Amino acid sequence: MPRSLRYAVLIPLSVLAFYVLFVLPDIDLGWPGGLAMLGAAWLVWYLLWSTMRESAAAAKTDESMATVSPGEQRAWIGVIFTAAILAYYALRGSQMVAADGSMAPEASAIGRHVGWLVVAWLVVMQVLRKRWRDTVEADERDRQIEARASGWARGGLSVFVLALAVMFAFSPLDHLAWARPMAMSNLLMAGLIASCLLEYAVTGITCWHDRRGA
Amino acid sequence: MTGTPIDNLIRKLRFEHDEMTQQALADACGITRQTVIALEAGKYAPSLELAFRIARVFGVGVEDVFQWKR
Repeated sequence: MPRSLRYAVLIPLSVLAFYVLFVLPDIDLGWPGGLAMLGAAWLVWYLLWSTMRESAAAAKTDESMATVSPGEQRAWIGVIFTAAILAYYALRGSQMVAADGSMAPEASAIGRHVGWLVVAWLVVMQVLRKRWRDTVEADERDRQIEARASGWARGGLSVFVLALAVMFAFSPLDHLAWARPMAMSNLLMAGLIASCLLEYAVTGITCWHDRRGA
Repeated sequence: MTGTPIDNLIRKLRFEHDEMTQQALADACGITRQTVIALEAGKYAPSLELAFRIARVFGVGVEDVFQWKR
């Protein structure tokens, strides 16, 4: 199957797998159903991963093609995981808040799912680090790009905090009824994750832009 | 990265040195191949240290590799 067709099939399937595993309301399929669902999701992600590896290997053997550097790979993987965590917060964050504004019983399950995503991210990065053992992971240009991206992330986070401060300072109290402890906790976490997403995205886009024009 | 005011002859020097690959030059200088690509495309101005390392790989002076655009 051509690589572009494989991407066209596997990318929507991997998004669907993420949705089924993490976002759908908790439905009980029994252990065989749950195991089958988890196995299918991992298979789809593995096939997508191996297709990406094939593309990278093809580019490596061709001098006229620019390969994806470790720094760029790290950035795009960061984009995928931070976007997934942010999307998960956006879709299920409201379920973490109980009617009285405290922590809802579903909060621990939702928090556990976020924890799984972070663990999966760490595992992927560990595997990649082993593959990059004999290569230069980052040089002065990567560090320059990362410094620029950090500046963007710091700017984004500053705008977010300023917007919150202005909102709390100038909004009438009855407009701030939603701002209960758990809701505020989610909002602050989402802001922090969004700033990380911005940092990874700026890094990835800058590397891609350089590579595209090579 | 935007264009830089520094021109370079890295591509020419690579071919004069047994058609050295970008990866071989990158390995010799301790940088990634993507940085060699960005240098050759004129999208990145190297630090003084990297400029010296590249010149040393080719066995020439820094000004034989990098020139200020007039």
